[in-house]
Amino acid sequence: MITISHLSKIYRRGVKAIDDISLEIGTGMFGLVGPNGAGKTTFMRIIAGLLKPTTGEISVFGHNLRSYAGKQAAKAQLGYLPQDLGLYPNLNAYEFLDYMAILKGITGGADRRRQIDTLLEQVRLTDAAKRPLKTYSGGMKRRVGIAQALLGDPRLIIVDEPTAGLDPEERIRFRNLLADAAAGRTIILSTHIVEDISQSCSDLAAMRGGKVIYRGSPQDLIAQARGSAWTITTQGERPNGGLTIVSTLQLATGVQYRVLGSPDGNYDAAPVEPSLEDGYMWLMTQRETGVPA
Amino acid sequence: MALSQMAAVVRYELLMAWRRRALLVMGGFFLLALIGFTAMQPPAPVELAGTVQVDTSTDPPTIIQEYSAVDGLTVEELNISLNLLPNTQLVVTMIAVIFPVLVAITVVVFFAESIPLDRQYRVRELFDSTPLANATYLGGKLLGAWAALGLTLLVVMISFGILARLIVGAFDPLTYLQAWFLAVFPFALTCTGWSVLAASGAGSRRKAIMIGLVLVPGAMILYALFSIQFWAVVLDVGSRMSADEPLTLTALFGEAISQSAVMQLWFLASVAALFLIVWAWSRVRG
Amino acid sequence: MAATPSPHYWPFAWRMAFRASSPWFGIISGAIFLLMMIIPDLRGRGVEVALPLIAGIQAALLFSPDDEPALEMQLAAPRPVSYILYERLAAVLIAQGIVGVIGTILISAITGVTPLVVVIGWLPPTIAAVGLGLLGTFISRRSSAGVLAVILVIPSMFLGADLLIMRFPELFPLHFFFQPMFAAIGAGYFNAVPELLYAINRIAITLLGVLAMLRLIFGMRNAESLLGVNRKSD
Repeated sequence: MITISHLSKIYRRGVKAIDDISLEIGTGMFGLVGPNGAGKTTFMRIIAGLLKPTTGEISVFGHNLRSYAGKQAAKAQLGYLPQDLGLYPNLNAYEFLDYMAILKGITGGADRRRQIDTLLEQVRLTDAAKRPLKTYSGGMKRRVGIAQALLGDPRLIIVDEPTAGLDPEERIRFRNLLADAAAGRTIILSTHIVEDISQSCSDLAAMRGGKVIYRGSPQDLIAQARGSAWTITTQGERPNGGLTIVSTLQLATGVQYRVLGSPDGNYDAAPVEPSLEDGYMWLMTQRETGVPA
Repeated sequence: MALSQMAAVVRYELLMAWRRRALLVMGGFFLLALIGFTAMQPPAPVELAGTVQVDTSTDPPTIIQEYSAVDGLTVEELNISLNLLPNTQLVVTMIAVIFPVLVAITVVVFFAESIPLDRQYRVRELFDSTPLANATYLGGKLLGAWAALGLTLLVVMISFGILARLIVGAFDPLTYLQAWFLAVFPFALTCTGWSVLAASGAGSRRKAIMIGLVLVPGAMILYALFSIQFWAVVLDVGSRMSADEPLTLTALFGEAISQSAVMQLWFLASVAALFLIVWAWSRVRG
Repeated sequence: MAATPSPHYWPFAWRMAFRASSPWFGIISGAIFLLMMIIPDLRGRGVEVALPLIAGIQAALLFSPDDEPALEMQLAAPRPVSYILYERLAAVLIAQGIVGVIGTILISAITGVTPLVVVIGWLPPTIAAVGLGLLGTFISRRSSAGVLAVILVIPSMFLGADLLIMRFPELFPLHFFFQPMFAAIGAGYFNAVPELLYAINRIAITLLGVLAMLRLIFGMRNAESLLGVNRKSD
């Protein structure tokens, strides 16, 4: 269990990245969504013990992250995949994972080898394991990052944009991998790909301007947009009148827009069942216009 | 666990340094420089500690001048080999006096990027998410740099020993080893330690190199301190010579090297102090 | 839409060039020059001591493919990537040139030596040091190697090359800090006029620097090599 109470983070020069967040995160997959600059990465770095909060308390499995000992104890149970992942270019995947495994406290050689072999198999890098990391594609590097986050069977896994750069097949594989790993663990998944959340998380929070503006299930978020999602087909002119365009599709007969809002009678609008993306967009537009979610 | 972590940092530092060919380039440069300097020595009479002047170009070598301190002594009474002593003086001068200048300049720039490179490769965030303590990380990086340098110097020491034997002839191996282990190694480790630790806060290679450059004058001051003391002791030997106290290699270099070693201990203590400062600072910054 | 025709020349990004070239190295050169002016024996050689060393270090930090941010984007841009080098090199020459010109004027005024003689004293070794620093970094892809090349070669030349040419006089064209006095001594040995020996040395040193820079400019045309895609080490 992760307990966060009145957490704030103010960077030098007064930039407020996190603004008085209180939250409890239990076991299972927890999704974190929000626009760029919402404070998601700062929030996750604080939970990972990389940043010190300016005010507030945070406890990870009963370890207070304000104390050094608490932070070290929490890190012993953490798997972390940062957004901006870096690897040593002249080590190979096996060596890099071995290095990370030792730093994570897996000191038994046989256990380490077994875990590394299993993870390399899971991320489908067994054949490339002995190649230098600098020869890897972006997606392969990401997979090494995922493997290192899962090393040591951590109780808490924090992954920031884990599927960025992965092809659709790998994305689905990784999503399933995380979903399987979620049993009895806490996994915090931050992403811009809302579909990843809808497919794997039962609980999510949406952030904006350093605050949590929504906390609940993906279904509840979808329900908020119900009755506000429409498709409008025009001959090319963009629908206006306070509508938010979610997607545009060029058809032989015209242009089909998926919109959020209340279209007036000028358009031939057909109601559609909203997706999580619609719910997320609905939430963000309501915030922009000052309507409470 | 901390020991395993530190051993892993050291092992992988060494492996990466080897794969970057950094050790090969540095070792090759050191060896070439030493051979070059040795080969450039003119075949002029060699002066031993202000005591005697030996002409090594003749076979066998001959004493061409004796100074007042050993006035009246014969070659036999000096109890030295006229071949061994000048050759030993030459290699010890190379190793304990000229070579450290090269080492100081090279290592402070070369090893400054050890820790900043982790930031540039963006692996530091991953490391910070593991239960790796700051002291363990810093210690591992420092020991890794020391191990890399130590191994390089060891190879240079052995290679140059063999080559110098071929170029200049027989010399005393014990004095040669003393010069390496009591003068060169500790001095090189001090300079490396300063460099790794002082540049640990730099965010990029470029900034680390700048810090390394700033350290060059400091390393030169350290060098001046121990080389002045070294020569002061060696040159003083002549005034203490008498028929009862024959000139030996131990009398000539032993004391100078051991006094230099004592000073080097203080240098290494400065690395320990810097380590504590950097570690404390990293703890404060969280 | 018609493609934009390639201009005959490409614009320079001066602001970026100055930021990337650390122009404050000029201040360090100036400080060392002033320090040298205090030492009577080195008063006439203040610029000659300061400029090659500091400009060489500055040049070594100019362009390292592994440390260059957004290199891939710069290679994808229509402007040739060697322009990065031209503009940064110009920034170095401006920063160090100011020190050189002021130093030349001061030395001439104090010692009475013709300004041209002073310039011939510092310009060739500065060009050579800049070439050495640039090439050292480019070949090794590590700024530290370029910096090391400069800080080892330049002081060694300044302190030890006199001894080297006393033992091997034929190496005189490679002496970065060759003095007219040595040319006069060598005239008898080589049976040539001192002016010719001095000119050979100055031209050889300058050529070394220019050749190093040309090697770099031609090397920058190879995008694959710049990106390091075929390298065995990082």
